[in-house]
Amino acid sequence: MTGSSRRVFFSILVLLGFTSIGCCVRVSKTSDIEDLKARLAKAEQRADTIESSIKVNERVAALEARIAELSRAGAQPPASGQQSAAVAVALPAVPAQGSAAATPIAEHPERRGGEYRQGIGTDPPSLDPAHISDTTSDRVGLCMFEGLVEFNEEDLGLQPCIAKSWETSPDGTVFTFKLRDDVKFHNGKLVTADDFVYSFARLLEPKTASERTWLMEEVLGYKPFAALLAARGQLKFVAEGQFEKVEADKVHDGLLKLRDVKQEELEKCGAPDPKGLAAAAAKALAKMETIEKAVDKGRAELAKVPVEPELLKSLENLKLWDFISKGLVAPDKTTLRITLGRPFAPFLTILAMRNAAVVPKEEAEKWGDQFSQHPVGTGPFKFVKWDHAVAVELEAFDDYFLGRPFVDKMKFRVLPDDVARLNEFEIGNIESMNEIPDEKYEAIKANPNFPGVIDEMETLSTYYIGFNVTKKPFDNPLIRQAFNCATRKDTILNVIRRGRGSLANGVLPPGMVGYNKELKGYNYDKQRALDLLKQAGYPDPSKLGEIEFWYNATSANDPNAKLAEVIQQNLREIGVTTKLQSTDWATYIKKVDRGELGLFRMAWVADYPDADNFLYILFHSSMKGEGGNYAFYSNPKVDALLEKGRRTVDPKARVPLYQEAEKIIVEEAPWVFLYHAKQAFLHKNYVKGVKLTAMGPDAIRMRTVWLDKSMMKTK
Amino acid sequence: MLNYTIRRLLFAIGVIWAVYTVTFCLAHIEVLTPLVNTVESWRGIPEKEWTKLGLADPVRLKMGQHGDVNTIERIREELGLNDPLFLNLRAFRTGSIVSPATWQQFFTDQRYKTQYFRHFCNALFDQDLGKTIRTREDVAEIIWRGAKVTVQLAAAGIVLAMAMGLVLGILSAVYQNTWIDHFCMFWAIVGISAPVYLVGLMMIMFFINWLRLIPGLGMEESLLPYLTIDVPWFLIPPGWTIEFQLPTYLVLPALALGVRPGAALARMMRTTMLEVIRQDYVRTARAKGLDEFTVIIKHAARNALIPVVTVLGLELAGLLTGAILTETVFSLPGLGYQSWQALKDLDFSLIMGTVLFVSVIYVMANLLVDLSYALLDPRIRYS
Repeated sequence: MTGSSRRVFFSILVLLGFTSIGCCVRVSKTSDIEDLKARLAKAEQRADTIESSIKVNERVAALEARIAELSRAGAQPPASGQQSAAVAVALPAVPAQGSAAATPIAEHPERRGGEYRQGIGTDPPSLDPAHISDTTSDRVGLCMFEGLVEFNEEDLGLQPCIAKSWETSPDGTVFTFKLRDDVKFHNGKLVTADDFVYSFARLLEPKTASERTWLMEEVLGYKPFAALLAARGQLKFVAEGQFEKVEADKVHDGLLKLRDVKQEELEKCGAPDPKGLAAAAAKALAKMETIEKAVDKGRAELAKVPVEPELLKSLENLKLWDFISKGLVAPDKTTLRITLGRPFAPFLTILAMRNAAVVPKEEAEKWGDQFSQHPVGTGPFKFVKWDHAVAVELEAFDDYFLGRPFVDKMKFRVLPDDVARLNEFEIGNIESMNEIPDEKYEAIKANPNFPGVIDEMETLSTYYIGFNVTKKPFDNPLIRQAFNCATRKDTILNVIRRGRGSLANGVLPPGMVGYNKELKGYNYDKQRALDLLKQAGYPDPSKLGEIEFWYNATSANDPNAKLAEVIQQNLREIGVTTKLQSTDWATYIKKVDRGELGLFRMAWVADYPDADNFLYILFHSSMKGEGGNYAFYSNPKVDALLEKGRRTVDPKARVPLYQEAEKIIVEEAPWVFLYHAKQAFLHKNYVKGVKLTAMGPDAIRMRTVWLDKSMMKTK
Repeated sequence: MLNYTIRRLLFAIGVIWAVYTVTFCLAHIEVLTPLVNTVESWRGIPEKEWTKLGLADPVRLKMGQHGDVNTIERIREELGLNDPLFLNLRAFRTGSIVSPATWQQFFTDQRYKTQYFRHFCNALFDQDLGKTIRTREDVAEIIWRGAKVTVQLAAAGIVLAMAMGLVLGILSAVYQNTWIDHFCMFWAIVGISAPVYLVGLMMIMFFINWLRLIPGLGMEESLLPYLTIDVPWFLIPPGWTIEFQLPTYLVLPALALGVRPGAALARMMRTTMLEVIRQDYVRTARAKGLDEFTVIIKHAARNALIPVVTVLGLELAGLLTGAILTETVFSLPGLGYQSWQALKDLDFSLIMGTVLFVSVIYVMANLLVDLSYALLDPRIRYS
């Protein structure tokens, strides 16, 4: 080796060494006393967690000496004293109309303190309420964001949160909320009704590109706005010659919505120049009808459709706020009035979702689409830092309006691997986790020495196998019923879920208002299945041919793969052959959306505890495809019942409507109704105050959770 | 030599471009928005079936199970996902084919209104890799974040692999056919055959659960032991401290990652050492009366290094791909974890950004290896 090569080799090695060392060294300024104190606390905590920590103890001693030195030198007294004085002003409970108030967190000095660490499976995609659309984000968001109302932990009824009380007009379209005047954002600003108006409008604003626009779409004025906007988009494509973007189903959808735009409604919502807009809408409607006909013949026909520039111009200035200014009103700082275009019974319940949380206007506007990285809300915990794919760190919000939560720090650690996560739990590096690997469940249950407790609860969820009722041979209800009778649901529940859950008779899970105990579902009955097939014209079931059963799976070990095998076996027993097909979720959901799959597995978990969230989304004909009606089921009678259920204000009157609709659905069997699943929450025995609800472990409220330090020592 | 370097550099750029393009096509096979927006449909030729092929849609994934056509459409338009992939012929719809204005419009359209050229040109000219579809974060920032971890991991892995490989290889060559040789080669075989995943899990069980040597998994800060270094007062200003955070999170993953290339190196080193040891110059060195250690290390081992460097260069690819599994097992947020997540979410800008980054690293590493031959062995000179 020559001299120069030695140098090159050495420098490469040294460089590699430096990169690894460089990432570990931190040079930091530590002159002010608060910082030192924080570090001291951190060091002490570390001394607790790491047993072999002689060096850390030394460091703690050094830090203590440093602090003493600095305070002698006359540094500023720590500001934490003032802060705790502010906490001491406990906030009184405010009674609310209609239901029990949110109970303030009682003073329990002995429960204070500690760090609560949870294991989560992925880095949360978003911490912006407008973009939270998955359970992991929702779980973190729950600690930081709150809205007008929330679910109570007993029966998931509504209880006030930031709203003190509310009134609903008799026709169910106007909601007037009285807000508390003592709720602060994490940045110190008081929450006013204007913030709510801003937050709700933000969901609707096209620029926000929120995934959850549907929460607010019944607000007066939004529907015509959305219809005109969509029509403008399609017309522009035609005018500019971008024919490949014009799609038949989108045109049809836009057309239906445009038909609902009436001059009276435009006048009611206070849109500027309602007459002109209504005329433009009528013209656009006529044009869209021509476009639809042209598309049906083939896109080449589109070139023959002239789109007048005047028409586009009349639709040019569509501003969201012009349309919804009468729908979302804040008459004064503590009053919020929401007007809906028509009665929408689940609206109050929807307001308890995370997406309807309040965000401060100035912060949201400052950060734009980066608000997710700097979230500010009103919840019991405030955002500290987000070390992407490592952890999200929150700390107790001292000015929380119900009193400071017990736990000082809340940490969500990202541990993608199931086994690794369970391992971290076992050695005591996290306090709780939600998803227990199925194959580990029994081992944990059987092990008396396992360092953790499993809480379980049946959640509002329904697992099912869907038929595409527009595809042969599943357009025949008799065959669908036969498949229902041929499926051994209990085997599936036992094999896949280790018996955790209950068998489904219909769509609605027990615990949901409207659940029908008397509903007769389909039990396993091989003879009946064969009879039904005979009635359907298949005395020899093998004439059905090979049927494809689709599922999504990531590995051969996936529970869905096991489900598929059981189904295949069950159908073989009645003489039907199936071919198992699997893909990844992304492709799968798209195939299901388009109705390409005849027989597929799926599950639905409640967004909000209302029968509407199940039946309307899963079976209303307007929800076909992307909307959630993957069976492409359509029955005018069911549509009418579900529509009526949405528009009926009296909760008691709604129940029979939904039960009747469900009965028809079960009879026509667009699904094989499988089971309602239990979900587990695994936590350490020193974690106290956990309340599991039917909304699942992701919806556990962390403000009253505390850590029993006496039990921690003896772990 | 300079000539050769320049030629190789140009070639490297070509390779990177090719990798980028092929990955772009592969990544979009699932979504097939029209490759070209066809003028044909306007000229009356019936619409082709393949425009209906779009299989998966990242925006659809964001919506959960209750989507809404209008909202999906709006978000797609906003993110530019509705633009054709490669060729935009919009300019020719209305413009005449001979007018320069049409051609200018055509070129602008390719730059800003096709997905491929927009992303490629943005990356090339503006060093802008775009924002992720799922989280609206800056892709460059995410890659930088992940690269820090992965490079640390790969560096530590390669250092371990080299240490392990060289020592085992030299030992087994020197003590050929003794129990030392058999012992070393047995473990080398085990190391090559054992998958990273298995090694990783076994290490977790052994070092974390049983021995409790490492406090936990992942880069969790509170689990890392700190060392404060006592620096003399005249070296740093008062009020500042230097802390050394022991990277315990790196130890096991680096071991798990280093085992395979280490074992491969050991076997390679043994073979070449056996060859070199029998050379005349080694005999000469012995004859001169040098002690055995000097003979082995200075005269034999150095000359055995050349093939080993080749293997090292090839193993780098193994290290980067191995990092994906290792990072998942040990919950490290590196490039591997990120690209896995990106693939799951169909986050094209992140996939493309990561591929671009990794291919640059890989091509450059190979280039360096090739050039270092010349430095290591004077007989090899490129002209």
